[in-house]
Amino acid sequence: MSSLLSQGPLSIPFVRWVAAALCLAVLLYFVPLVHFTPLQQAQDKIAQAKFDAVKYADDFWHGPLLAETENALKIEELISALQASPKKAAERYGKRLGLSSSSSYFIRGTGTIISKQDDVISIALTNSDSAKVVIELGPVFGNAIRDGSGLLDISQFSNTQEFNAISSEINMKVEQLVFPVLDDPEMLPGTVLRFAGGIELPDADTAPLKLNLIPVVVARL
Amino acid sequence: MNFMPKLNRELLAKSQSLIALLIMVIAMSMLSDTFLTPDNGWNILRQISVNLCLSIGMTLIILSGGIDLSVGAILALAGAVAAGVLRNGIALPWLDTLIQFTLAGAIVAGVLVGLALGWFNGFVITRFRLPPFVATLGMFSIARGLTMLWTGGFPITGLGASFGYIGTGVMLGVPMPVWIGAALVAIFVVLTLKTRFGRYLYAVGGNERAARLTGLKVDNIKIWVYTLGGGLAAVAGLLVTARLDSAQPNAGLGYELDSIAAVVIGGTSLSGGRGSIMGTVLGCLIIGVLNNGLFLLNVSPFWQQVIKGLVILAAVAIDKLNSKENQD
Repeated sequence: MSSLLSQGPLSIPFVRWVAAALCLAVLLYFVPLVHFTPLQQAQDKIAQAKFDAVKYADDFWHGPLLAETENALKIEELISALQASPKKAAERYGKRLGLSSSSSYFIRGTGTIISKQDDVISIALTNSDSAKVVIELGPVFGNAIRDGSGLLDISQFSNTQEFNAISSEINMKVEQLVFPVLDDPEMLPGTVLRFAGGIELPDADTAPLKLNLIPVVVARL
Repeated sequence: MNFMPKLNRELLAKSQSLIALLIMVIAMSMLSDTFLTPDNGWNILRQISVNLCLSIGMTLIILSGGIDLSVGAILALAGAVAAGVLRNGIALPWLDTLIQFTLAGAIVAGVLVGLALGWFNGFVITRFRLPPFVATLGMFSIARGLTMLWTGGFPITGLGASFGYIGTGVMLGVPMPVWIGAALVAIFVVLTLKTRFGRYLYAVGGNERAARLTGLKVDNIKIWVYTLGGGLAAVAGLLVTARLDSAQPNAGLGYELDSIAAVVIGGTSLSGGRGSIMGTVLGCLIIGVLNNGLFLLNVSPFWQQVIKGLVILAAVAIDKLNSKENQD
């Protein structure tokens, strides 16, 4: 037998290779490495499963976010808390994500436009003269609205890209829906407004004198 | 004046990594309440598992008299390829087909990438007689570039729970990365100490010219060593990717230096031919304990780098002194 195996095509190395190939084939049958799918079918499936940040942000904006503006923290309350202790104010009213060194707040208030220069609108608050609100027209960055509202939990999303995409879309909505209202030529100094939106404040020992607002709602009173 | 018999000195030299580790563990335990706890112990083992995979491969390469500066970059590319094929598959538009990879398929793809790049390193070093430092530096750049091309510079995320289990799962109370690291240690201890390949490896690293003259296929052995190094870097890449549930384009930056450090601290000679896998395990543990302990003691990360550098210098200096004494 051994002499037979050592000759011709049935040599021992040949038998070993055949045995190895058979083992591999059996293994791959039970543990396949790949599946082949028609491209169009796979693309349709991926498109269905893909997270639509634009739609999500649109639903979020017109649904829970606008409703939340009615319940947002009064800006005077935030300013008083910040003046008493910025740290305690952050603990009580602020929302922060992970190891961030800033807190976001969702606030509402009323005030009067005191200046409008170079796309920067300054608003004096009706019930507080300790600080002013500033809105900078132009590209919006950051996560003040998403995080400040406290309505979205990162664990609801399968990855951080989706969570960040929502913030980008919300910021886009601010640029498209809210800034045109403020950019109106009739929005002159002296105009009285009500507003609501997000504010992001870095950790600090002293209360800020101006609060940069990313508005969700701005309306003339 | 010689106060110690030669045998005792040799024993001390062989146990220096173990002694250093014990001293560090005792010191950290006295300085931090949370250091000597079971949770922290598992934490250290989990943290070193990636470096352990890289360092096993690096030990083989350094034992053969070479060096590999591309393992961190191979780690990143292998992790990215595995993540990419698992998440998106490979589209073949001319066949109107999408090849969707299973978990096993993605793992195999990642490891094959590592093996192929490692083989290329070995091929270039042996065929063109390039210094390993230069050849693997070239591969470092190639693999980093390919990773950026493959990922487009963005992380590949959402790889699923099954893949994540490799990096974060626990089996029989032991984290999966620790199982994988331990299995690789066992395999490569046997490979280096109990097989013909292991003996050839030490022979090539100890005296390459003599190995050639005795008829050993030195080039083949070196190609195998670099191929295995690449494959182990790929396994490390899979662990990192699974643990983070994402393939980061910049994963593994500077990891080659950590693995070289672990190998040197573990007593493997940079000139080749002398050292062991178990020494490298101790080297990884020393670096792991040092990182973990300094973190628990709230030492600034900048100081941590300084201290790590000093430990590496001390290890190399002791290695040189031992070599000199042995020659004397």
